Amino acid sequence: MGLITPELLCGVMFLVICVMLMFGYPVAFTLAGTSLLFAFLANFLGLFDLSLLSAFPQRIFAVMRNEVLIAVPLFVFMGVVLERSKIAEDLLEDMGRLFGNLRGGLGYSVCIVGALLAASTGIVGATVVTMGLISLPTMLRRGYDPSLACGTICASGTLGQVIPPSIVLVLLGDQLSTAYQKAQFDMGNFSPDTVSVNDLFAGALIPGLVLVILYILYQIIIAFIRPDASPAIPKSEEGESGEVLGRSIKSMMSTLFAPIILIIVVLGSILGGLASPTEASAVGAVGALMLAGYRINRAKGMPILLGAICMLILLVFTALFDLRMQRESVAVTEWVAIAAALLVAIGLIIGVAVAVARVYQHQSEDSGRSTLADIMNATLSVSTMVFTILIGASMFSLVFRGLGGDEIIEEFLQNIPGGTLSVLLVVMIVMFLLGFILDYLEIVFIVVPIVAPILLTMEISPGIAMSPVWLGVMMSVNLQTSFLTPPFGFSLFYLRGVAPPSVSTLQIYKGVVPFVVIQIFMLVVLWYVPSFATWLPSVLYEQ
Amino acid sequence: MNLSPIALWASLQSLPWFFSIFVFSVVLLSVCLLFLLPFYYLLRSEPRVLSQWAREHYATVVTRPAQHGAQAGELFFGKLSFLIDVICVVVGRLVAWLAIFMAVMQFVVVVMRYVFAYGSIQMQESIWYMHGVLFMAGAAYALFLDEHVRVDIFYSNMSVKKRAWVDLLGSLFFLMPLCLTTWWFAWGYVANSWAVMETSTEGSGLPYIYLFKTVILLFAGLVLLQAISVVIRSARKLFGHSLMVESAETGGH
Repeated sequence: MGLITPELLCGVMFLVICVMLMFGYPVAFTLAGTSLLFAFLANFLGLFDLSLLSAFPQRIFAVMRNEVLIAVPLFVFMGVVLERSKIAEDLLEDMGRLFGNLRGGLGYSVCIVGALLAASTGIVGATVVTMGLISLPTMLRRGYDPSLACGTICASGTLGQVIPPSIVLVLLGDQLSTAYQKAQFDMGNFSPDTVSVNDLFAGALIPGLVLVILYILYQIIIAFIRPDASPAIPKSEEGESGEVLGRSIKSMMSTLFAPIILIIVVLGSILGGLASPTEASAVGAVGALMLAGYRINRAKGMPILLGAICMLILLVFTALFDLRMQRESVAVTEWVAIAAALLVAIGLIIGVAVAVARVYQHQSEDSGRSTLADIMNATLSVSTMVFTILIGASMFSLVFRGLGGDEIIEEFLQNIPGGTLSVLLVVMIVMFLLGFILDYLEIVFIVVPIVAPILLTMEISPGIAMSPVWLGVMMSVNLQTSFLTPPFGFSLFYLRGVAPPSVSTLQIYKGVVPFVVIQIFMLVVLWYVPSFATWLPSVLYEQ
Repeated sequence: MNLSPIALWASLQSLPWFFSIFVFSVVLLSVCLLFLLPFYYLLRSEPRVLSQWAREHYATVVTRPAQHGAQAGELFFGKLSFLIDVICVVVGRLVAWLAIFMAVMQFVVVVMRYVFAYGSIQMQESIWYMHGVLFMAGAAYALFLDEHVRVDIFYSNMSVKKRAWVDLLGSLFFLMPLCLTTWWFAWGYVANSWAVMETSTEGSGLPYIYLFKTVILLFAGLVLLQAISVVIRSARKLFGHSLMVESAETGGH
C-alpha cells in the first residue's frame, strides 16, 4: 500500500489520459471515462471515496442553469447564421475587392475578416477551414506567395479566439470568475471582488486589435520588400467599366457594413456595460437572422429593413421618454409614447418573423434541407460538444481533487524557485505544450480550474495581486500561439486539410513562423506591460 | 414580475380599457409570429425529412446487408441500432429547434427590459430550461453525428477497421461506465428533487426544477443507448458483413 500513493495515481492518471486521447475517441468521454476508471481503481485500493462522485449531478446541473453560459449557444447561433447564409463569404469577397487593388490587399482583408468573425470562433479550425476554402484559392490565383497566404490564413483564423465576443473568452471568463473567487476566499477575503466575462472581453480587446494591426503591418512590409509575394489585382481585370465598380460599392454598403455594425453593436453594448454577454448575444443572434433573411431576397427586403428601422426608433424612444409601464402614475403623453413604442415593436416583430420565415424557406445547397434546420443542427452540435467537454472535465476535476491532486499541484508550484514569474512561466509553457494535443476548450476546462486559483493568490510584484483579466489574456494569446506553432499547431493541420496539394506542408510552416514571432512579441509586451490588458476594463468598469 | 395569466390580467385591468386591449393584442401577435410560426413550419416539414432519413438509414444498416446475405443475428443487432438511432435523431432534431426559441425569447427579454423596463423571472428561467435541454438531450444526437471533438492526429489517418476498434473499446470502457455512473448518482439527486417538487429559488420563478433536473437522467439514458448503437456499428464493421465497412468507407453512416 505504501508503494501506491494518491500522488502517484494522480500523475499516472494524467499521463494515461494524455495517451488515451491520442487514440482519437471523443475527448469529453475519454477524459471522463479514464478518470472514472481511476476512481474505481483508487476506491479499490482504499485511496478514494466513491461517494465523492455524488457531486457529479450537481456539477452537471450547475452547467445547465449557468446564466453566463447561455451566451455560448447564442453566439454559436450567430456565428453559424453568418457562415451558413454566406454573409461571411460575401464579407471576405467584398473586403478583398475593396483592398484588392492595393499590394497585399487580399491579405489585409483576410486579417480583418478573421477578427470580425470572432463570434463564430470557438473551436480552432472552423474559421481556418472557412477562410482556407474561400480565400486561399483566390490568393493563389492572384499570384500570392503560397507561404505568405497560408501563414496569413492560419494566423487570422485563430485570431478570432482572442478578440471578443469569442465563445472561448466567455468560457474562460466563467472559469476565471470561479477561480478568482476561490483564490480570494483562500486569502481570507470574504467579500471578494468579482471578475466577469465583460472584464475579460474589455481586457482582450486592445491586445487583440493590436495583433490585427501587427499582422497587417507585417504584410505591408512584405508588400514593399517583395512586391511579387503579394501582388495587387491588375487594374485591367478589376471592374471592366465604372458601372461594375459603382455596383460593387453599393453592394458593399449592405454586405460590408451591416455585419460590421451588428458586431459593433454587440460588442459595444457589452463593453459599454449596457448589456450582459448573454443579452448581447441574443441581439447578435436575432440581428444575424435578419441579415440572413435580407440577403436571401434583397428585392423583397422591405419588411426586414423596416424591422431594423423600428429597432432604431425604439432606441430613440427609450432615450426620449420614460416608457416604464409598471409605475404608480403615468402621464398621458407617456401613455401615448408607450402606445407608439408598442406599435413600433410590432414592426420589429414582423421584421424578425419575416426573416425567420425567409431563412426557413431557403434551401441550403449542401444538404437540401431548409437553411434554418441546418443552422439549428450546427448550433446544437457545437454547443453540445462544448458542454459535453465541460461535463467530462468536471468529472476529471472531481476525481483529481478527490485524490488530492490540487494540493500536489499547489505544492509543486509553490516550490518552484524564482517566485511568481517563474511559476507563471512554467504554467504558460505547460499550457503551450498541451495546446499541441488539446483544443482550447479542454485546456480551459482542465487546467484553469486547477491552476488559476493558485496563481491568483500570488503577488506579481510586492503588494500587487495578479489581475485575473491579465492572466486570462495571457492564457488566450499563449494558446493561440501554441495553435500556430509548427509542427504540431492545430490550425496548421486544419489548413493542410483544405489546402490544394500544390502547397507543400513546409511552405505552410515557413509562412506561419513570422506570425508566431509576432505572437511571442505580444506575449513579451503583455508580460512587461500588464496594463495593456488591464487598462480598458479598469477605465470602463472602474474596479 | 409574475407571468401567470391571473397576475397579467390584474395588471392589465389597472390600465385604461382601450389600452389593455391594445397591449393584449400586441402580446398575442408577437406570440403567434415569433413562436407559433417556427413551430408550424417545424411540424410541416420535419416529419417528411425525418422519415426520408429513416428509410435511407434502414436501407444502409438492414435491407442492403440482408440482400447481400448478412446473417440473421447481425441483422437483429442492425435493427436494434437502427431503433436507437431513430430515437436519438428524433429527440436531437426536435431539441435543436430550441436554439431559435432561445434566441428569440432572450431577445424579447432584452427589448422588454431595456425599452419598457419590464422584467420577468419566469421568462428568464424558461431560457435556462431551453439551454439545459438543448445540449443535454442533444448529446446523444451529436454522438450519432460524430460531432464530439476528437484528437485526430492519428485517428484521421487510421483505417476504417482501426477506427472501429477505437470506437468499440472507447464506448465499452469509457462511455458506458460514465453513463451508468451518471445515472446511478443522478437517480438519488433527481428523486430528492421530485420528493419535494422542487421549485425555483426565486419566489416568482418557474416551479419545475424537478422536471429540469430529470433531464440529467435523459442525458445519461440517451447517451447510453447511443453508445450501444456505436458498439453495434463498430462491431459490425469489424466482424460483420463486409457491406458495413464499405458504407463506412464511402462516408455513409
